[in-house]
Amino acid sequence: MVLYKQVNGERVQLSEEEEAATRAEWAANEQEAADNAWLEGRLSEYPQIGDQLDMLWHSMDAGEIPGKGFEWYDSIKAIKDKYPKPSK
Amino acid sequence: MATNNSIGLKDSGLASYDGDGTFAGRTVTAGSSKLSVSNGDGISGDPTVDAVEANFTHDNIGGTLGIAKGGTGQTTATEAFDALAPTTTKGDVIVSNGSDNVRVAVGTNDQVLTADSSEASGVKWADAGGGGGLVYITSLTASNDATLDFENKFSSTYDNYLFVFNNILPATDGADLQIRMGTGAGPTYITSNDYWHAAVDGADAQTSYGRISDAVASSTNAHGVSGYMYLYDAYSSSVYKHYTSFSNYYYQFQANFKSRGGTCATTSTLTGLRFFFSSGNVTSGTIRLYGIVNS
Repeated sequence: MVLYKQVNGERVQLSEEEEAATRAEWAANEQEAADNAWLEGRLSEYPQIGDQLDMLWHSMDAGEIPGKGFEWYDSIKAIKDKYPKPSK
Repeated sequence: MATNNSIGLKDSGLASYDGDGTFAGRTVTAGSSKLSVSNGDGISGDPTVDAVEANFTHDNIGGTLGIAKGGTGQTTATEAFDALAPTTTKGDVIVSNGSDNVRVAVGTNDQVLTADSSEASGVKWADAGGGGGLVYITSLTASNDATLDFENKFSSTYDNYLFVFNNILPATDGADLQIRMGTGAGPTYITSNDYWHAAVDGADAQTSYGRISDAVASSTNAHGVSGYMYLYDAYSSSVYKHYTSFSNYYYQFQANFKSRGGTCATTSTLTGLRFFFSSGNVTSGTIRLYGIVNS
């Protein structure tokens, strides 16, 4: 398939040199994307940072991991107590 | 046979004396159809000369009709209009003051004509209120193109530019929308690792392109990338070229929004701006370029 660039509305066929460079760059980018697919997958599915921190807090609160009594745990708890979640 | 009378005339008609002792017979005649002559030889009575008004037309009357007589005194449309117009200086305009057409002298550079009922003419030149605004420059619509190149569109008229992209669709699923900046005649697009860019969730690596979006779905149902990008100081020859982009797109069952800022480490005047995907053609979509008015 011949490649074109569009310059100010005019389609211009890429020179052999330009086409070779373009296809090489595309191939390199596709390889890089394939190599990093695991990372992109993780990043796209990790919970939001706030949700992750909330999970940690609840684990501390449940005693699953240490943290109760430390400043970070206590400061979050103080806010939660100030604005209690309504019971349904 | 004609015979000489007492003053020597032998012809009938009007007598004409040459002042040197000789008389000759003469007859009054019309020189053209515009005149009629009756009794031209005077034999039957006084000769009469009359104008034939029906034979006078605007085309067969010589000279020009002056303004005082309802004309212009000129012979060409431009000269005739100039003769009537009250304007005298480049940029002057003609407006009605309610009864006459009058001259309003040109204002100063960058002023605009503004309605003002307190003025005798009803208008005046004034500085543009509010300033700012966008001026459309050009647009490109993709049709399976490897790149979309805006070339030689930047000038000293604007410091900053706005690109608005609608539904820029990649041919390759998961490709990123990217840009490169061009300088010099040609232009030559910068492909060295001179682009730094960052999104709100962190800095990207230094690359050979500026990144607008992350992975974009190639499905036509996903409608590609829409958004906009500001480009700053494009025509400057003294500062690095910054851009800020905002893009919406769809990929793998998720809607995505990405805001990015970036810099290309060149102080050269930009002569080109190239949009392309990290892999594959640009299937379709339109990018419009506007100049942002300085003020």
